[in-house]
Amino acid sequence: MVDLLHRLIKTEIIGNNQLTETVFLLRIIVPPYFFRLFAPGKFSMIRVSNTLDPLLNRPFSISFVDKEKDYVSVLYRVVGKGTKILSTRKVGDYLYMTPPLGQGFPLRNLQSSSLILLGGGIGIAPLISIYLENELPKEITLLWGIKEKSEYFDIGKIHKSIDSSSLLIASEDGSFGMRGTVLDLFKSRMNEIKNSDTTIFACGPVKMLHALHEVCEKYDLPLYVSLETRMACGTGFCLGCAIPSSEGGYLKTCRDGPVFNAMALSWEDIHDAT
Amino acid sequence: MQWPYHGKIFMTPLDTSTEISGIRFPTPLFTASGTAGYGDEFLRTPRPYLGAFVTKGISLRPREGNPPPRIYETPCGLLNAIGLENIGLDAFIERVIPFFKYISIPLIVNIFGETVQDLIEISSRLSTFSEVKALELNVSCPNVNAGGVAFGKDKNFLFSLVKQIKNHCLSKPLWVKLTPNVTDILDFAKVVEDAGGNALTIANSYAGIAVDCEREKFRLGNITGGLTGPAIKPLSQYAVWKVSSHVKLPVIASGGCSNATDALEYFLIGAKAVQIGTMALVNPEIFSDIFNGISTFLERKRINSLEQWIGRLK
Repeated sequence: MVDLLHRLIKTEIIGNNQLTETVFLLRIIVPPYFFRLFAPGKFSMIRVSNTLDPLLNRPFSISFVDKEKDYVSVLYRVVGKGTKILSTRKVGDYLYMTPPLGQGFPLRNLQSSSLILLGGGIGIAPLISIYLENELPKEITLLWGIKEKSEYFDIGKIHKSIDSSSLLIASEDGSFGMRGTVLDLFKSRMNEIKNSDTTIFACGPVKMLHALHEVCEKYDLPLYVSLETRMACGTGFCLGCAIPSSEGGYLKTCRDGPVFNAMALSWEDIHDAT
Repeated sequence: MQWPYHGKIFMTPLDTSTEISGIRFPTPLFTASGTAGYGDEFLRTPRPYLGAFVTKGISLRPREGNPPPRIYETPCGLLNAIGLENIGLDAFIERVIPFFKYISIPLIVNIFGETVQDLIEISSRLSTFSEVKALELNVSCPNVNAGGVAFGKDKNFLFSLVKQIKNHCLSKPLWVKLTPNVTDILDFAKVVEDAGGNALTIANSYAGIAVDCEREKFRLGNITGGLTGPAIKPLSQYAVWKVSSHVKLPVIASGGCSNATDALEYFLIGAKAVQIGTMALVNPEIFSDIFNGISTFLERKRINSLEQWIGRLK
């Protein structure tokens, strides 16, 4: 079998719009086989510029794909050198990236009758892609935590079919939605959740995910997390993105993840590992 | 165009092959150990201009590797401390060697051991396989406690190690990958030559650290790592130039080769082949890109074999 993953494909930027002070939405035209390899939760390595500094490609979640119009959307926050350069790339520029990589959210075998998506900050980027799946549980709630109102943007701009009534927002300073963290928002709904048949998908800072894992473990709720680590190749060759496994040894974020069953990870060791 | 046309079509086709330790490789572009796995996955994609596949370091028993974070990017470079995570010799023999029955790209196995006994066992077992074309002895990994660089920094020890492995690896050529983290790499290259080694890989990564002021922590779980990538090219070129102008053994260059010009530079100062590691993580298609660049250059210079270019500048 020919491996389609370990290659760079040439894509063209059709949009790179600023949504907030630090968050951008990149839209790129990709070849048709990209869509065959895509599943919600997967990521691509993007070569932000064709120079030697920054040297490595960066991993980005795919937030949205449109098979009809041949484009994909990448929601990203400017945090360092690579993302800063990416934010300056213009419509019409070529961008090299890999096909979708890794393991996405386990949607195909999902038995639960309801789904909670929990995103901290830019952590909603991979969660949005879940709405692309055709057969989803009837009840989906998206919980989103931001620091303050200025971090808010309209998710409907990325994915039109997201029902705004299913979106609940918490801001740490109380300037938008409920006051508190996304975890507080989650806990405030615990009475409904705890005896229901609910699966939780989450992405965000490691501290948040760890705290969420402890809550989910207490109430015996299945939790899957999408992790972010530094990566070099993204395809499993360099073994650079190791993450401690609960069974001892290491898993690789790029190949075994980025979406993991929370029970498979050794949470006590993850803080030092990322 | 008049007939007969005395242009390009009558030129001898460009010969890009290179010979190292009695083996002729179709191209001088090899993978660098640890950057492309064991081969059974990397070579599922056709790699038309890859001259040889050098595996990740194989130890007798499987190794877990170092605690993360294992990598940190620096300007034009990559600092890593993977810690030789690998599947171990048994799994390698069972899973990977059969795959190479059907692959025409020569297999070079990079071997690592914590003890001399380990290395003797690995080399004697691997030498029985016709799929294995040569062994590359890793005495240069900066990221492990025992073996690795410790073996490559002691001249007497290195001499006896190379001699003993040569006695056990039957007729397989033994390449030795040296560390640049010594006072003078040339001394160690001469030791390998005297001990009967067949080729030298110059060189492994440069020891380094990275520091996080915000969290008051080291960036790598192992604290120290090895620097690779374009940042180290001038340093590696110095080592290659020095060794290849004083030692008769063939030199395989390794260090920051990122394009055809870098490769041509390495050949010009005496390298018989060049290993590409970090840049292949960035661009998996780099082998074709570099090969095409080399061909275009040599044709423009009216040089019809790579060997005429190798070592012109010493």
